[in-house]
Amino acid sequence: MFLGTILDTSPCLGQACVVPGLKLDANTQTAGAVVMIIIVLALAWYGNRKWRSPSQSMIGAAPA
Amino acid sequence: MMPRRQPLLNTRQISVAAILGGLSLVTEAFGLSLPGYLPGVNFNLVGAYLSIATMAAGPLGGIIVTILDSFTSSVGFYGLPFYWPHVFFLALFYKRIYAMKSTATKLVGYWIVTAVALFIQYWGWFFLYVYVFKFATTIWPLAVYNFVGVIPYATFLAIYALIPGVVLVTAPNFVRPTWNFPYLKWVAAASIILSAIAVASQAGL
Repeated sequence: MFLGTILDTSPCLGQACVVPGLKLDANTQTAGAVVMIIIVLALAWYGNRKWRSPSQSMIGAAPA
Repeated sequence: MMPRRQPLLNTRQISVAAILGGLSLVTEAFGLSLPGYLPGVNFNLVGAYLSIATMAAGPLGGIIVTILDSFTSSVGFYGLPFYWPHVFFLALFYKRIYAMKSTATKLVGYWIVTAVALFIQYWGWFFLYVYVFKFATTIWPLAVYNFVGVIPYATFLAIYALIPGVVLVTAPNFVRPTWNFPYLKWVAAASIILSAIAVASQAGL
């Protein structure tokens, strides 16, 4: 029973998933998906610049 | 001397996994998907989030995305373990792909590994659709539709490989595989074998 409760936690189980009371039309859903792509690419671009490996960030650093 | 303990994930990897898992949860909750309709194919980008998280943060990153996704996914937590063979298989080969010198070879390698990972993943989902959701009485109609019909499989492959492939070649520092995962080869094998046993039970043989 516990396992069943865990498994059935999703509010969207077995149906088209929408937040209750907030049904988006198809155009808004598409626009949302495009925004998601932009967020992912922006995250990758930002992460590529900011999160370099320690060895890279040490290149050119002044000796301690 | 005591061996130095390494954390399974560092702060950056946890952040990346949490952000992509959050995007996945929101995507499912609001039904955000690209336009198109094909029975059995979901045009949302969960596969892309899952792949990028696995590349940047290893299997645990991919698993974090699947857990967050399951809260709002239409298959709920039933789908959770059936993503994992894909996650482990991709992680198993990803470091070798990343180390390839030529961009073209890297991209081809990435698409091939993702194609195999997706093929393996599909069988676990067939089990889910037959055993849990009763969409068919055996797995074979689903296998024929997805693999012989080609288009459903190819569509999912594009979702899983296109954006992550772009990220791999344009933002290599972001998806640099600095992660480690103990016994990855054996864990990957175990997840694939368990999935195979599950699907064999529904093969009607």
